[in-house]
Amino acid sequence: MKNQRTAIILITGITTIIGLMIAAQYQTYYEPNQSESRDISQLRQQLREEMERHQQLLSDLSKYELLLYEYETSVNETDQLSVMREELEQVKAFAGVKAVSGPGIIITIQNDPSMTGGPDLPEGGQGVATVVVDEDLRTLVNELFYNGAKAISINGRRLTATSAIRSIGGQIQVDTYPVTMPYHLKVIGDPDTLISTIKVTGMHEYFQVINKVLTVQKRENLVVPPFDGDIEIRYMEPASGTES
Amino acid sequence: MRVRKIHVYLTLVLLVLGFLFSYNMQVSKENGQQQYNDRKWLDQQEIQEKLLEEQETNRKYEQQLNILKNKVAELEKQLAERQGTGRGILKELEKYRMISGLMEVTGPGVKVVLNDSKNASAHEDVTNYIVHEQDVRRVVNELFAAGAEAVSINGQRLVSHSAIRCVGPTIIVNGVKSTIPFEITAIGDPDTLYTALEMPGGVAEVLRAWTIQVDITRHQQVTVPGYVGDVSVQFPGEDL
Repeated sequence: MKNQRTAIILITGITTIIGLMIAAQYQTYYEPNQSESRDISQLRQQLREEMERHQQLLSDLSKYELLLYEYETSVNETDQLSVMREELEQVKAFAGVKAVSGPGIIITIQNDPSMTGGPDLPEGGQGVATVVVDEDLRTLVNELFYNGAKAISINGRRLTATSAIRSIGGQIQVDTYPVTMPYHLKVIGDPDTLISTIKVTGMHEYFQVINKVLTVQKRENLVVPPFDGDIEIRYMEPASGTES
Repeated sequence: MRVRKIHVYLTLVLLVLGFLFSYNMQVSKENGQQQYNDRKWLDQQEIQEKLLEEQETNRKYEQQLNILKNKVAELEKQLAERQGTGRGILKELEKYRMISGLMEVTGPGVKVVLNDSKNASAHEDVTNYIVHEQDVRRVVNELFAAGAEAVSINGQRLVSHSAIRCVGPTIIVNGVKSTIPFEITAIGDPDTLYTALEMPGGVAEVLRAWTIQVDITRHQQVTVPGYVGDVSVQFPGEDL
């Protein structure tokens, strides 16, 4: 009797220890591996983001330092005023209310001449799918900006920081201006990068599906017109007052 | 009988023990793996340190930039006070700095938070239930069409050459990555902006049909940060 009892106690003890050991081993060898590798890739990405921001901040700092230097080294007020005027022109060009020039490309989207009939008109069921919609232009423009385009106009309508491209009643509007086929996009940016972007992202095929031909012309010097119209500020105000 | 019972127990225990030992052996054989993990851990430490360092420098740079911007603004203001013509230029400068996105601005507006469908992974076709770049672009496009004056996505101000790109659960705006949820802040008439998104058949309804979480709130005051990065463009008549 006594022998059996000690055996039971012994076995209970041993099995408990074994159970704990297995549990401990399972935890140490499986769980941390996965979470660690996930953490590490997240960390790497965060680090990359911070480094990109670092670069941006540096370029901004040097820009404002230069501006400050120009203001301070101006001999007289007339000089300072011209620095201010120059800065204004730069800001206006960036805002889109002033023409921008430089190397770039012209993209033309037109009906496929080899297709008979007017594919632009929604004739029958098939016709609907062959119309360029706002989303198509938005995708194209986004691709171009993502790959370094500095300024874009669609049929002479310059895109600003607050531009909208929308389909309204089967017609595309850039801001409040209607634009129609064929579409001419003037794009400022490195021509070779932009052309390869269009190829790599399959934009030719994208428009081919809806019976449109996308052609690209390289230009050494291109002028993108300014936004036509006045931009009125009604709601926003500088927030810098809260900082100082 | 008594003795045999103990034998059975012991056999079982020893079996388990044997298994455990052999398992242990296997694990220790994978010592290389263990070392690999150790190295990874060290890597992680290193990256974490670098990250903290980088964050610290960026914070310093941001402060520096703000000080610099204020200095420039102060100089411009002084100049405008002394010179009549300067006043007009300063006004214009401020206006276009706000419009182009170079300045931090505040005003009434809306906040839109987009998030993947709560049970996206439960669906067979997951891609239909997560937020795509087209969705974000559509929301932003509607906001601008409804008269939004300034918009930022996860703290990145949209400027004339901004692109919105998604890679998996991350969004890239102005070359800066951030993750879901996507918070879009817009300045404009709160009611107009709200209705533009929430109207029947509007963007919000379409997205919600895919069970994507769309949360739109109106605010008396929101702040949209200024753009940080390259702004240089050439214009006709400028020799650069």
